[in-house]
Amino acid sequence: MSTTAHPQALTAQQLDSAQQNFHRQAALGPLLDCYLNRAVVCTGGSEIHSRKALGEQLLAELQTFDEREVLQQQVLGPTAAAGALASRSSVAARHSSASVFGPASGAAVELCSLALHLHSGGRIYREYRIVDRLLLAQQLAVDPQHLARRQVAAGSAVYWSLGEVNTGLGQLPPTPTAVGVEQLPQPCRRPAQLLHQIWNLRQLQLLPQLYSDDTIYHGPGGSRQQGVPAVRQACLKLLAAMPDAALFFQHAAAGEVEADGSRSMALLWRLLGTHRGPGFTPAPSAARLHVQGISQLRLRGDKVVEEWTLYDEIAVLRDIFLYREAVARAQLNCLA
Amino acid sequence: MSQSDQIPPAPVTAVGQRDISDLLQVKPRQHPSMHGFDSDYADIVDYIIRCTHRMWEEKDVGLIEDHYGEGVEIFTLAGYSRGIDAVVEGTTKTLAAFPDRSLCGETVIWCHKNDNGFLSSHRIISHMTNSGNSEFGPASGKRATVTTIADCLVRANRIVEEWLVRDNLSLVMQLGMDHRAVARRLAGDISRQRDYRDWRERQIDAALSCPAAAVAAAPAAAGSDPEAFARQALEAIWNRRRFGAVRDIYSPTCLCYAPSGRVLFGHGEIIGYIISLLGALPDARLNIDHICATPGDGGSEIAVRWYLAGHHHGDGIYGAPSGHRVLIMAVTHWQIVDDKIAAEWTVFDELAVLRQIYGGA
Repeated sequence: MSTTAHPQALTAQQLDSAQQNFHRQAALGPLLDCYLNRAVVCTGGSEIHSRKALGEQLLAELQTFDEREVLQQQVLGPTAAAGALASRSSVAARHSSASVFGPASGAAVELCSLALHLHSGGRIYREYRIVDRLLLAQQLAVDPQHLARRQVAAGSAVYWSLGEVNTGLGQLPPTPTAVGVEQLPQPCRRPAQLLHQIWNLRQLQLLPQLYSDDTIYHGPGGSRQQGVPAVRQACLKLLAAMPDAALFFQHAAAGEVEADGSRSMALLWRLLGTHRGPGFTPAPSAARLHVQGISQLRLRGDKVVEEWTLYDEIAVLRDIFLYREAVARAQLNCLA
Repeated sequence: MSQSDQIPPAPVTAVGQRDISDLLQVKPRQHPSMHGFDSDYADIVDYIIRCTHRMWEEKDVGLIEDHYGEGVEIFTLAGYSRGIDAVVEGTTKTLAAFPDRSLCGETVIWCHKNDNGFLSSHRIISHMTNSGNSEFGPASGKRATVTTIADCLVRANRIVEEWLVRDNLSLVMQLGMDHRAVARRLAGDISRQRDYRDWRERQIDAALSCPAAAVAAAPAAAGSDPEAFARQALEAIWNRRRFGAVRDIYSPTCLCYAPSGRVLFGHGEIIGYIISLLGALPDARLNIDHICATPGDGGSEIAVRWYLAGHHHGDGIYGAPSGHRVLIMAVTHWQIVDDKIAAEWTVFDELAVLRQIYGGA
């Protein structure tokens, strides 16, 4: 840890530099200096509490995937004493040590992640970090369902599936305006409102109002597709699997307008729904799912020309298996 | 007039988003409200953060002698203790079971008491390895993260009353133990302590006989009148069963951390959680014990200590109805943004609830 006075603001440049040096030189200490001692890192499927625990996790990641080369790295967001920064990174590495993905294979892999960092007083106090673990499983020829099953703790897991998903109130349709949209940075509000209409009001015909005809969509599993139909397919995949799905925006970060006229932004969202439709597993499970995701959008004018969206599909599978196990053990919403 | 009289007192420490290394730096001046406190404690928040660090992380357990009142009373849902020796013993036992326990203080919500004292509500996330035997069972070697809230009444450098809520059921689950078996094994202990039994019965009777509060003419704003807001909110939702009021009181994107691994998001799940508890204890009444609030970064924080008491007459989260009288002692922390609850942490010992259900109390 550094002993000099800590800067009172965390800038995109500082975080970018710390992340790059972490990947290139295993400079863990300077990266951890960007975090509060009690920082919470939400990975989509679990939470890491404390800087110390994060350090242990990052050491394990460095050991598991070494010989790193940064392929792409972008950190965006305003310079401010408090607020949100977003980052996207793509790192080439070698699978060099045993891990949840199995014994060291020596295979070349690409580590892709999106993150949103909430910071104050120069340190990150809460971070949402989604790693494309589906892509990792595919690259290492590990069955994602097998990986998810291994994460289901044996024993006394209680699965909580309380209350209901509030898509609308009772039989009423969802509100026309997105919840909390006014709290998002100004440039994010129109895209968020349209996404609310597309996802929550099921107005998928509005996709062309938000996406350019030749938009490029990067999804989980390293997928890269072009055109509005690809985005529509990605929406339908989740909506069909969770027909009562409700999308909520939690935080956002917006970058400045670039020299080419484009502007990037990131939206942190949570999709609540019940797994009652086709997708994820051969048969619906009825599990309540919380899908935590990040979408980074690059807009030119008012159209999205490129989107990177990640959620941890392996965490979703794990929750489905946890739910099934809880039902089988009569431990769904029951402690006794 | 002396020079120190002319300088306005420094603001009381806010934990906010400040690093522990900043919080533990010695402050040059003591706040004038700290009557009778050691001179190195700048204010009540500094006292709570610093003495917790010293006793637990620096392992200076003996400092308890200088920081607890002689007849200190400690209330938990699993037992009651009186006196400094019991605090020293309890702390030492916990450290023997979890020697690397670190305590990340997430917030300290506090208020003045009339008699030159303070009431503090300290939310702590503990990380620890179970390398020694504990009351729950043999050392498992497993690591766990658990939330605790310690409410303390502090006067002149000494804690004279403490209400401690820890998410023990979550802890036991993380240690890989069967929480039902642990609760059954410990169930007998709960009714053997006479002092505890009397206290518990008094709290149950008080909650069940608590008269309904009058409905307020106008809802209180959380920012300007946090105490009235908290009273109205809890009365409406829990005692009047107006579960729909959650939609007026909570943000639609509220994240609620509740005991035993519940992470709830949004109105539908928060309402479902409350109904699930009241479904198991259908005649339950909620009695507020204490409320305090402090302004924080980006909005105020409110701490509420409350009891919920009722008969286990419903199926649901606690299994087939046992008919037993059940007491829950809980502390809730709310983060208020734009007069709505934006985040909630509610902690109670649900293992102790199961002990009451299995124990035939």
